[in-house]
Amino acid sequence: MVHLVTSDNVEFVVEKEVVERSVLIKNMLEDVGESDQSIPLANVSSAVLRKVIEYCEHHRGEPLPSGDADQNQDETRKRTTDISEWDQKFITVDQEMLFEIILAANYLDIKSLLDVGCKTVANMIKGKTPDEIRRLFNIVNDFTPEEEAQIKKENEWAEDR
Amino acid sequence: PNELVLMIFVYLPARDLRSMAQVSCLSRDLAAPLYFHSVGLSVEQKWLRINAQTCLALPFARDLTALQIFLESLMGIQSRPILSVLCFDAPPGVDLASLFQVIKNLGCSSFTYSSSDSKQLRTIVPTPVPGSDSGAVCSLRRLSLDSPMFFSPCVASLTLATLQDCPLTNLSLTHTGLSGIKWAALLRNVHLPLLRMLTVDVQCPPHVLANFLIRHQNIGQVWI
Repeated sequence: MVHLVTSDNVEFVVEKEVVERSVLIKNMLEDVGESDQSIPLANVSSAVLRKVIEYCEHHRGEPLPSGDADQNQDETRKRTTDISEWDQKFITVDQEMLFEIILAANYLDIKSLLDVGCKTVANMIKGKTPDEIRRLFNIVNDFTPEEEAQIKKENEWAEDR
Repeated sequence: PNELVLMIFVYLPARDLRSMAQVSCLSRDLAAPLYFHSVGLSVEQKWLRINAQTCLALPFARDLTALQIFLESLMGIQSRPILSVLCFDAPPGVDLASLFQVIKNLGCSSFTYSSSDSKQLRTIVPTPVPGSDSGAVCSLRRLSLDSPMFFSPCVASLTLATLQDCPLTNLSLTHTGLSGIKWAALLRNVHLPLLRMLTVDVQCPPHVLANFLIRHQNIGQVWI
């Protein structure tokens, strides 16, 4: 069993097989060897780690993507934003939690979870206008009036065709 | 982090990348290159987004970068080699070394650079080199450097290499900012058998110049 301590000081005890879906922790355990000492995860809160562990438990035993295979599959993988049913249900969370999960997956180096998170955000963006995207993610429009006019002109040109 | 935003963007088709490029400045900077790529346009990003109002040196830096991109684009497509490049002034920090390298690679026969008053600068009109040897390592014949920047740490080695492997006939090194000792070290390491005209600044010690002239008997004119 591996002991993990989150940023809000909550300790989790997780099976090694489960937690090793995180390449960061897997490498850490290989380097340091097994010990009773807990691993501090300064960038992950308990609420987020609970979700991450839930994901890792569901996907335990599945082969981890190797670096080379990942490179080769990169092109085809990135064209599809299909998400399995379980993953879809798992990632149906509020926006803040979604971004927290993406950040945690990136930090813990859990490629498949990171993919699920990125695909979900991509699906949220798909088919929306720039204005809808701004409203959805609370993004400030920082274009100058000149740039704005230029965009408008370009759009008219594109729509004419 | 931008790298995570980019990971999301790679899942977007062209239509949505176009929308993302119209959301904000940051999303445009990140999405536009992917959008161009997705519609089959290959645009090499060679610019930096900087607020020009807070950076007075920028217009010039940008112009010099633009010059470099322009010169690079000419490489291999121009029917006649560029013979002469003249540059005036550049603020510190400009990537002079890579510009210098591009000019060398272009195979031009004359390069003049001045950071002092342009009135003092004589425009060199180079004569075409018969049977121009574009295949040579460096075809620079006339080199005029009127700035200490070519002797700053990041460019000095390239300047020395240029002096060592170009078949120079005219060499002018002024406002170099070099001390007497540095002048001695520089000229000791340079051998230019074809040199006919030499200009140095007053910091070049007379005995160093004399030694150089003894080794270079083809020099017919010396200017200090």
